[in-house]
Amino acid sequence: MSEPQAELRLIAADPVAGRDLSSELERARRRVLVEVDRPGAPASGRRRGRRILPSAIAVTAAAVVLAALLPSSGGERPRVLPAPVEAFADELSGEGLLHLVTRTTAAIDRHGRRTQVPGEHVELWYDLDGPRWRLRSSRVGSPDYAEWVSDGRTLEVVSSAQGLRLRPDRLDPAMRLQLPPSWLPGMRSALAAGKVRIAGLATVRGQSAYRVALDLVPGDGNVTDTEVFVASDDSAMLRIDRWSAHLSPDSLPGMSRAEVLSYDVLPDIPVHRSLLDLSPALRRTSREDRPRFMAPTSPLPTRPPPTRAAPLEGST
Amino acid sequence: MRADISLAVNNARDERRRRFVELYDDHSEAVLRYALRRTDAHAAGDVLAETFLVAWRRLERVPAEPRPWLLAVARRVLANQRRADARRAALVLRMRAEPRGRAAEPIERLDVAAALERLSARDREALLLVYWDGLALGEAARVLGCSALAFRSRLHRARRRLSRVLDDEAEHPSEERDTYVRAAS
Repeated sequence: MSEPQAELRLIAADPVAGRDLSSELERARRRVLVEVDRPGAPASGRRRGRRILPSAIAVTAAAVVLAALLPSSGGERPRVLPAPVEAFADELSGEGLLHLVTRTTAAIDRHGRRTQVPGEHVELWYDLDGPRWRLRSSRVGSPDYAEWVSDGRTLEVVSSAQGLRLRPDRLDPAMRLQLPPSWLPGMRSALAAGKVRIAGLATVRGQSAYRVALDLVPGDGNVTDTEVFVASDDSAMLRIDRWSAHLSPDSLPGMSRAEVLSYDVLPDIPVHRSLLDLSPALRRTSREDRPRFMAPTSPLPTRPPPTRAAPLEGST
Repeated sequence: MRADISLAVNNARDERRRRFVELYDDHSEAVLRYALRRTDAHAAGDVLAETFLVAWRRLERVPAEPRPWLLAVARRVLANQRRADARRAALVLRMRAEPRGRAAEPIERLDVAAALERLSARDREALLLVYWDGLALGEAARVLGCSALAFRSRLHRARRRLSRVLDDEAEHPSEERDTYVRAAS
């Protein structure tokens, strides 16, 4: 048995996980406060434990009987995560520049229909300590690509083919869900708040990984369930699976899978910060009077749903 | 529940008491869970009460991040309790007393319990502090009074041993496991 498997079995065997202890705690609380509030009770110094112990025993014995009668609460388990997942969460909560290369390999609706041609390359640079990000996407096999650049307030989308601005509402809805405003902040918030659980183990491209299920805040786009696969040896992100609940007309139903081909958090130094700027090649080719528009908060502007996935403008 | 606090603000020790109540409300559950994972429910209640009475007496010494400090106190209280009562914390007793959980199948859980019993106390404590009590490495190191580096290597070894023991447990169930299965059934 591998160590990650042993870890998972150990976590699952916690005998008090999810058990509601509120009754026991409240009873013990009252008893301790009675002792604390007793006139003449010393605030510090000599040991008084023996005087409280018999009464505490009586109270807790009653509490234990009560607790034994209570069903398991089914509440959230405490935040107990394997060390590699903790390290991953810490890294995403820290500073620096997140650099991510993904390839979307599947987007399947709930009826098993493929709604997107697999093979979308996405490269993302994301400031972990600020609002800026840049994303480059291209279809596999196409020399053309598009870049999204945002300073948190405005958003520019530029195609390499003709240097034209693209309007996000004309894009593939699956692509829209790939944009950082729709998922990355939610993922970071869930990790920082400990709203995660280990859903299991998996092997991703030969690497052992934890399936980390994120409890995303409702209203964060249309994604209701996200699993991140975190390598058990070096804490790298290996894969992202996301399920859409199809809650709004333009949401993509079903599951999309993005394989993470490269994952780094780069130090926050000027040369890395320049990666958040539009590519020089696109700056040269794009129109000077390229309009800018306000970037909405997550998700991006909604439009009536397209009847089918539209290809990127300028792609072959 | 907050009535206690309202009364306390009117007496002379209100500030100290308020701080203590905050400490209790924020951390008593973690202490109780810590104790329940290591001893039976009766003794766990004693550990909780005794730990917080120590905290009341030494409130000025409680650090800004009190959880590792409280768990270290609870650990010492547990050790004293075991010595005084010659009462060994038997996982089987606790598991028999607990309602069956949703987290794992009972037999699976008993396998893990039996495997834990076959580890040294040091290895077991390192694993439980991280995987059951949810402490970060530095916090767990403070509970055990060692350096983070030392704790990291201790945890690494403990993880490896647990993995081996679980394998061994699957192939050759120990007498402890059989005992647990009989006790739980």
